[in-house]
Amino acid sequence: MEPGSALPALADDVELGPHQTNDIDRTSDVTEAILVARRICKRFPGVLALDEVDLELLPSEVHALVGENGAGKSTLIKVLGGQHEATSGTLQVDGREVHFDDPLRSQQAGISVINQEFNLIPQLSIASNIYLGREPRRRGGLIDWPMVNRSSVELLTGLGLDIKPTLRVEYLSVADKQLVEVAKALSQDFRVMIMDEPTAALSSAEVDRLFEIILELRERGVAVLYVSHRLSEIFRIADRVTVLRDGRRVGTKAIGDLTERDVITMMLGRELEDHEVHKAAAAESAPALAVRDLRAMGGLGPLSFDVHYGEVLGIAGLVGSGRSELMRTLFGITHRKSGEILLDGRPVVLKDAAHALREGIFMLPEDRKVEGMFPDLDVRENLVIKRARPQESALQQAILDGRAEQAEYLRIQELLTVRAHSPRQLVSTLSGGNQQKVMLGRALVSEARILLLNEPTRGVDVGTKVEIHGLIRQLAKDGHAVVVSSSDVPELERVGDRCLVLSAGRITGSLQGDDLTEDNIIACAVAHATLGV
Amino acid sequence: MTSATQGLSNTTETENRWLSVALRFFQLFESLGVLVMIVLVVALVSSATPNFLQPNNVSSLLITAAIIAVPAMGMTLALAMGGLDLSIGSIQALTACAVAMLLGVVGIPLSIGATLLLGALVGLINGLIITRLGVPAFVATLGMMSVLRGAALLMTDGQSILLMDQPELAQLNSGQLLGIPIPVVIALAIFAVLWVLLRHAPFGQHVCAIGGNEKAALATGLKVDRIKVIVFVIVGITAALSGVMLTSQLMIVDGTLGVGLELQAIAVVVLGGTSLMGGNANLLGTLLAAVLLAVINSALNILKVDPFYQYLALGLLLIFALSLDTLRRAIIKRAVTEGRL
Repeated sequence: MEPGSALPALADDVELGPHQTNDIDRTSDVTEAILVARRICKRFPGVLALDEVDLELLPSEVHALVGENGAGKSTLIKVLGGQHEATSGTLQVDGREVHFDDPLRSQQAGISVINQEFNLIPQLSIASNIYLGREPRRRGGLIDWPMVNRSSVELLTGLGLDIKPTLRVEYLSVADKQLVEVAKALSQDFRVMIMDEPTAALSSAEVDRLFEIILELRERGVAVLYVSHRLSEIFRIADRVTVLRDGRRVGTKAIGDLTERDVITMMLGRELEDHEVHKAAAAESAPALAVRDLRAMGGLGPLSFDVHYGEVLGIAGLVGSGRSELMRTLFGITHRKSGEILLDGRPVVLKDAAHALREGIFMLPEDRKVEGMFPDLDVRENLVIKRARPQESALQQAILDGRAEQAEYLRIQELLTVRAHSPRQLVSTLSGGNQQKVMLGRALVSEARILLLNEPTRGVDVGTKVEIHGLIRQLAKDGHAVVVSSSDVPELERVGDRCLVLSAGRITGSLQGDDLTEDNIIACAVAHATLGV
Repeated sequence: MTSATQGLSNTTETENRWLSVALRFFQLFESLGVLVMIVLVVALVSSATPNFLQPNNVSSLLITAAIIAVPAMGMTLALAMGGLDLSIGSIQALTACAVAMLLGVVGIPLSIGATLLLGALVGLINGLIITRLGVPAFVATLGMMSVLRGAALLMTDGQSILLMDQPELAQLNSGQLLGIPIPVVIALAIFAVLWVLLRHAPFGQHVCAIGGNEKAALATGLKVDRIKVIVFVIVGITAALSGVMLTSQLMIVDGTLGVGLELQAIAVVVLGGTSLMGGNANLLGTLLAAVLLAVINSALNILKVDPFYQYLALGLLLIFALSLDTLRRAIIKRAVTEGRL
């Protein structure tokens, strides 16, 4: 009767066919919730992260959990996964009350969590990762490797992954790592699967594959709690949606009763104002940045294009299309192999990031946690870390000028409406959106005229996203040349004057005006995706 | 267009080949690199001085290697776990003095047993300081390095202890089992035990898991603190064992023994292919790298090079091993980000 026990060997289930899943459907009462959370509160010092949140997960449903950053989604997931203990409230699994004070308890209750940051050990093999902590043993307590490898192969094939289980995880792509996480979950009995932003780093084909797996799980009676920022995905896959705002549940509704706009309104607690994005006709001036036959590591190029002052150039492309490599090459972190980069018509060979900044080029890193923030420094320090002080002497530059920094902080804070209660607040305690604003603030502090923005709204809530788009347009209007590289296609359509589409390291589309649509961008991005691979 | 495409695929192909060759080199190096270096050095030195390969020299070289290899194999576990133990040199001194002093009071088996227990106890204290007090392994064992050195010197009153009339103990060094010097037998036995532990017991996987991603290990429900303590106990025992082995070799001990052992052990472990960043353990590599270090030292001796050059050689070897490790990880990372595997 345990539906969970049928799951470990997904491959077997496929062979067994539909009658087995039907059995499960008939025997289990559909309306009986697997997991019920009642009035969950979670208090951190100074913050009430969750305030009497209710959640019910039914068998065979995909339940979306949405909310702005800081709404309490991650906290709720951590409470369900046993990483945090709730301050008050009750959790029930199959009608029985449970207490999760460590992740193992949650796992034993049949809850499986796939975090955004994978819980995989890079240096161990795939098989070893799948069974970590639950290794099948032979007599004498030693690991039964043949058994481990055999069952791993079964699990992986079931997920459409044809790789050796003895391969180390560090050799896998992000998408494959995710599938290994799924395999790890499938190797144990579970009835609830929680996925936190699972598509953040996947290409559209990989997203499709993941969705197939999710639907298959649903058919087997699993309750899937799906957390994502991408509303389009939620409307594609979810049966019900729970919206959180400021740690409280705004509501739970069937997806059919909602439109995207409704969900946004629930998340924000107000109507989304459409900041009208004004696009200027591309300036006819000489290009700020001209790229000629550029080639770089990773099979990038040859590429040729111009960026003008006063315009926003979008760069689109799937993961692996060379988007990040291009940005890094323009910023001098990755060295070019051949070709030219001209700044205001003058050829430059960028040695490193410091050189690029001296030349007036700024880059917003792709992942602020890895390449951007200094989590143990405060907001002001993070903001002014590389303040442009060209007129000052070397001695002056060597000494921090608190008053000037404070003035700069206030200027940027007002301009970007950074919500920090003090310049001395640690940057890591800000919400994702405000952290991103601080990162963008560095662009203004640097006084660079060419701005390379990677994923400017990654992990940012809907409201802040609109603000950041407005800011990007404003920067262009003020005479900056802005290059935006993003995996968020609607964003490029919205904010860009023109858009280059990369595929396999080459430009497969250059779109502007009425041609600059989401559909066209996607068509170009996948058109030649197999070229040169 | 077509010719441009051709050119593109050609360049990616050469890059592809270069990358996979580099990858294969490192995978091969992990298992064979040290062996090749041993053969090279041996061939070079023995062609210059034929008595390098005399049985006497070979056996004394292997004994030296065994005395380094035993604590280095313990250290392999610590490094695989993302930790390290800087106190092993002091443990070696302390236990060497302890076994020497005990021998005057009780018999050999009891003295050795008690000494190994002492090593385990020190390891336990290291482990508890790290897990209970939350002191990083580097600092905790650095502190213990000084504490134990002081203890060893206090215990012996700064004097040397000369062991006479202890032929059985000397036998532990000079004796043979099936023609193999006993220290080498001990090293091989430790190798066998730790190899099974690392490769075939869940414990070894968990040690590597902690080194690879401690947060994930915790989230998976592994008993991280307990595993850490056990690893430091193992390191303590192997260091104590090396103390006993060293005593039987020298037959004269004092509190200044084993200075720099931690450096030797770390060099040997990293050269053997275990990453200083944790996550993997190459026990065979450690064993071979210990032999390599002994071969180099012996070669320098036989070529009558100033013994101070041994320090130089060790330091350079350590730096070389570390840069190789960094290069290896950089290549893996590139291969992964470019999806060219």
